[in-house]
Amino acid sequence: MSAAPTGSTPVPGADGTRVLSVRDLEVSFATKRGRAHVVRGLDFDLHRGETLAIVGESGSGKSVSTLALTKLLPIPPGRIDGSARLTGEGLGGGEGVDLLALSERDLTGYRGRHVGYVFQDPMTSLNPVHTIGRQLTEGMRHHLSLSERDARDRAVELLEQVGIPGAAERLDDYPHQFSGGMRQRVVIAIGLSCDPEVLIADEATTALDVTTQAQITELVGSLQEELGMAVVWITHDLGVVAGIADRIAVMYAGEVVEEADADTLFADPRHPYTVGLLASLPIVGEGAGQHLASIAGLPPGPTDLPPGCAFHPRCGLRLDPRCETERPPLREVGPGHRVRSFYEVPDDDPHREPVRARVTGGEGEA
Amino acid sequence: MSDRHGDPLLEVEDLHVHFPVGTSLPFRRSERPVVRAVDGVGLTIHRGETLGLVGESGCGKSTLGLAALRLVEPTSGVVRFDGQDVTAMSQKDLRRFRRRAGMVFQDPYASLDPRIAVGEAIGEALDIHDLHQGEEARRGRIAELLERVGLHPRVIDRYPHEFSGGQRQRVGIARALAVEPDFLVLDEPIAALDVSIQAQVMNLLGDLQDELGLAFLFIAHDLAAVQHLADRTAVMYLGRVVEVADSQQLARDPQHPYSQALLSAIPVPDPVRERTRERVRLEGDVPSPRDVPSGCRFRTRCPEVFDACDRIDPHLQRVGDDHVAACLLHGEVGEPVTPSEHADADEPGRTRSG
Repeated sequence: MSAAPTGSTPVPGADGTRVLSVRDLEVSFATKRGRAHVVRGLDFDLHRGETLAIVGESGSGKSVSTLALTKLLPIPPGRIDGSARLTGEGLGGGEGVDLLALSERDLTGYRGRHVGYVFQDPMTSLNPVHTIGRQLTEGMRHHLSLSERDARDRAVELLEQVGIPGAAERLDDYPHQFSGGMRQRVVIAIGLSCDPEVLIADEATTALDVTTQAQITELVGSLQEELGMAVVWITHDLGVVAGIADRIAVMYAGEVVEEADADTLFADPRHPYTVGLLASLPIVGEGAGQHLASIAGLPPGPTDLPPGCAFHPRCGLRLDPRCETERPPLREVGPGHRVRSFYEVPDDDPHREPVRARVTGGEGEA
Repeated sequence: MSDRHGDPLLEVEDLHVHFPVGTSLPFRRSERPVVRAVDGVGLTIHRGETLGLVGESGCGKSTLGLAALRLVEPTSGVVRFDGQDVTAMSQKDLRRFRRRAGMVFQDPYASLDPRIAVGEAIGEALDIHDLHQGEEARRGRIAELLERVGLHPRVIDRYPHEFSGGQRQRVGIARALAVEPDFLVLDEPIAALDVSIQAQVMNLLGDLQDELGLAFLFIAHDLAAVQHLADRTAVMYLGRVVEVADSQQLARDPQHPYSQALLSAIPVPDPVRERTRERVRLEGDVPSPRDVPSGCRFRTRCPEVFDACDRIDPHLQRVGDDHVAACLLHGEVGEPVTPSEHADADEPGRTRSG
């Protein structure tokens, strides 16, 4: 559990007003095979207008950590510790509100209202038997106490904002009458409907085709500029992240292993997992036919985490004797750049080659 | 670049796969509506070559892969494998064909039977084609195949749930290799895998090809992955192949406006490049394959559409070395058609304006 103040350096895109600070977030589940530690000590700050990307593979804890913020998890068997302080105008008299300390009843006033969610699959996150108008107005009527008429007017505005043609006529359509991309726009409109301070986009474009994905990431970017909300973008796709994130946190086995602003993370990764991940990506128009660098082995399961650094069984470097016995702390290695390792990947490591080639190649082309 | 081209192994000519949907309307002499999943595709794959096939969901790329193996019946057209017409094969010939051409599916969770040990799943292929002498030899061969794909032979009696996604995909590949094929259709073989595992499976596929001289049809929506493995890449849109080129050439200099849009939409893992590069933005959605626009089927979304696009159905034409594209910007090559308003394609007698 690191207690270092995190991400305190303002980044481009953010105006420096903190809207959410998460400290020591731990999530575990009771299972037949013992307690599964899915999120192990997560700290992050989020500022107005900022996009934080949380990157990781399946099972790394990236989704669970954001679901835990508003307790969207079954408790028990789940257990959530730590704090998630939401600060904003009029929240807790300027002190902010610790979402995790709220009762279930009080928390419902925050879900959707202050923290909005956009989930991966618009097919399952929309209810097929209700019109999208009803699903869109539900939150506004509940949280903002709008009349049916006002809520419908606002719903039309929202649909126009997310680029759905003929918004007024489409309000009484059902989800199946929309294409996948249009459905995801509806889900985004629902996420935005109560003007939340924080929007959590959990693999929001993963189910979509690339041309639609480009439309949606662009849309969220422009809405963010317009509305000033902070976005947490959860994804496994490092390409998507490169285009939209101000800051990136890489998760592995329930903890952040590296965190930095986007440019630094791609140009100068220091954790062996981040370096390995970036080195393993094929790039359009480059290095065809050659072997891709790959990370051997599999990520550990949450019930049988290895001792020491969670990545050490797959790590080709293991440059410190403590790797196998001691859990490394999250250390600051540059302004806003933190790495959970006893050492940093050396400059002459062969895996750095493809990473470097990519970034310099990019500059050459631009 | 594409020095691996040997003789043609698989040739697809004017292939159509149409699926009937719904019922025909009474009192109207219209034919039963069909989904034109594959609508006039021609392709050639040479021995030992990898042809990449990219396109968005619903463009017909998987159906094309299935039809190439006659796992769905083509509506019309020809598929020739090693000179033989696959579409005309008898059951007996087809069985012989299946020894030489196989498939690896996308979802390693759905493509293995949870009640059958992985060794048996691989052994089944050997049994069907009578490829072993006795139980001992059979187990030996299965163990060899497991080792070939990077799994330990002792996992032979384990069940699929004991494996991770990447390991299951290796089992799927071992099963496809069991019959010593010349050609495999790989349908999104890495899409369901985690990022750190994708590179492992990609490397395995590349090695297998080098060692065994296999030809692949590599179907994927991930252009970066396709480029990495494929000598040539074909781009599909709404049932048609719109461009085929050397993979590197396609990445550098796509000629069809759809390929350009597709390439520019693929996110690049480099923030600097992401910020500076220009995107070709596509408006709207892909039209339904039940109601295909007349002329060029990309014209409803094409940023460079002009007046010829709705009256000529473009054919693939040469636009460079080892590079063809079906776009009228490169010359009005194609089949003249009666233009129709896309939204109501049934409307008769609409005359060309202008």
